[in-house]
Amino acid sequence: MTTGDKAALQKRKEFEAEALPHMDALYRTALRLSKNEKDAEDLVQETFVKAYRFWDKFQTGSNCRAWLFKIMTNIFINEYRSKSRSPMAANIDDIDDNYLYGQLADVDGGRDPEQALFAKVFDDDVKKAIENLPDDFRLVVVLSFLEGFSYQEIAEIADLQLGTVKSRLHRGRKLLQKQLWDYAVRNGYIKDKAT
Amino acid sequence: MNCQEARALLYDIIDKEAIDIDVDEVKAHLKKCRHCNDIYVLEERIQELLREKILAQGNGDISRVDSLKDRILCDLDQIDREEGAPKRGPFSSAAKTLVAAAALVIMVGASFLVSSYYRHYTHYAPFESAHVEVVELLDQFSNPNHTSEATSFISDRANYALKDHVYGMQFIGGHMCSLCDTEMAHFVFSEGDRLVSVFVAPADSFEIPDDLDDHGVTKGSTEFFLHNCPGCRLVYHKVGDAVIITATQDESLDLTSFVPGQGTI
Repeated sequence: MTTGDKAALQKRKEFEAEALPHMDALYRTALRLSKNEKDAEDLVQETFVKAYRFWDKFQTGSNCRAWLFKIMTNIFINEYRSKSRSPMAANIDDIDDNYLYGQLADVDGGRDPEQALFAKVFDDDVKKAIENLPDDFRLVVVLSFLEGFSYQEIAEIADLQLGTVKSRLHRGRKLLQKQLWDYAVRNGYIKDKAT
Repeated sequence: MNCQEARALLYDIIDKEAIDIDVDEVKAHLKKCRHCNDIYVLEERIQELLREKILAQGNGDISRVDSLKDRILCDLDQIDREEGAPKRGPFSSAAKTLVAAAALVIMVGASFLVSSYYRHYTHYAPFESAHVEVVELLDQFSNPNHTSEATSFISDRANYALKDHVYGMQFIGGHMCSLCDTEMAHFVFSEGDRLVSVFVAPADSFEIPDDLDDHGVTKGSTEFFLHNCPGCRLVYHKVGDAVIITATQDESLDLTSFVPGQGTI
């Protein structure tokens, strides 16, 4: 066995031990980013190919998980992000901060509307609400809520300013709250004063 | 701290991103201000709900995840090959066939393990086990493309011209021998019911182990070893710059006279 072969074997061994175990996490995030299994699989596959090609650039001992997410995020933004802007993005600023709080405060008394909302919102409603988020917002929301990355980590992964991460996360939350409220009202879980 | 300042920090606190001083000040404000406290309690609850629901959406179908992993491993093999680390290269293309084989094993409830056997090439086993397993599963390995790919890989390698020795044989996969710690290609040759496994490795990387006594090996000469073990017999043969190990379960075959590549047993 030549020295070159040994180094290559070593590289492969390291990669399989350090990078591959993060596949499940990358895939669950990819599923929520790309909204379908086929694209999610392609996204994860491309991520590992790229990571393996650039493995010598990875600093041993640093955060491999964050590094892989950075690669995947980059591919997602460049190749998978929908080109058309979501219509929803336009009117975010019309949504009040603490939207649900404001809406719930406006509801006519009766039984606890907050309880009704929390008990009745279905997994599927939340899934749809997340899928409806514009791609840029969905990215930071998923990285934060699902993967538990810090603001700073998300800033590095998505190559954004810290302030941009916070504002997108904040606006993502507002959009989610608005959608959940709309589902709740449309399905009659809650009676909106206006209706 | 007033209401506006406190509310600006609410999400930092919910996300556990706020610094200690801010947390203390906001918490102090919340104790005094019921309105802000109500907002905080609700926002925290919404946050928990969202996190819970997002997690509940699942991590994908296991079988799809498994096949994704196989595709990724194939890609890595391809990159290894491109980057001039061909040692593992040809072994990989058998991965998909092996997955099918593994699936079959699980389906028929057979007791031997083969799923990870060749796929990662870090599974150590003596040759006889590899041969015995392949006899059981031969049908699952029949892909002529693997054979031609493996033979061209072997013939392309300087000082490792084994093409003639494996001509007409069926490539099975990579094998990592636990006795000699060497990676080698595993082929089979079949004629009627008779089946011989042929393992090939470059002689310069292959050391015939000294401690084979436990395994019933009789050293004949420096060039040739006969290995009798339960289940099958093995012959180590040094041919030019290659080491060839043949294995069979067929007691009537004389492996010492079997010459790989001659096309007949």
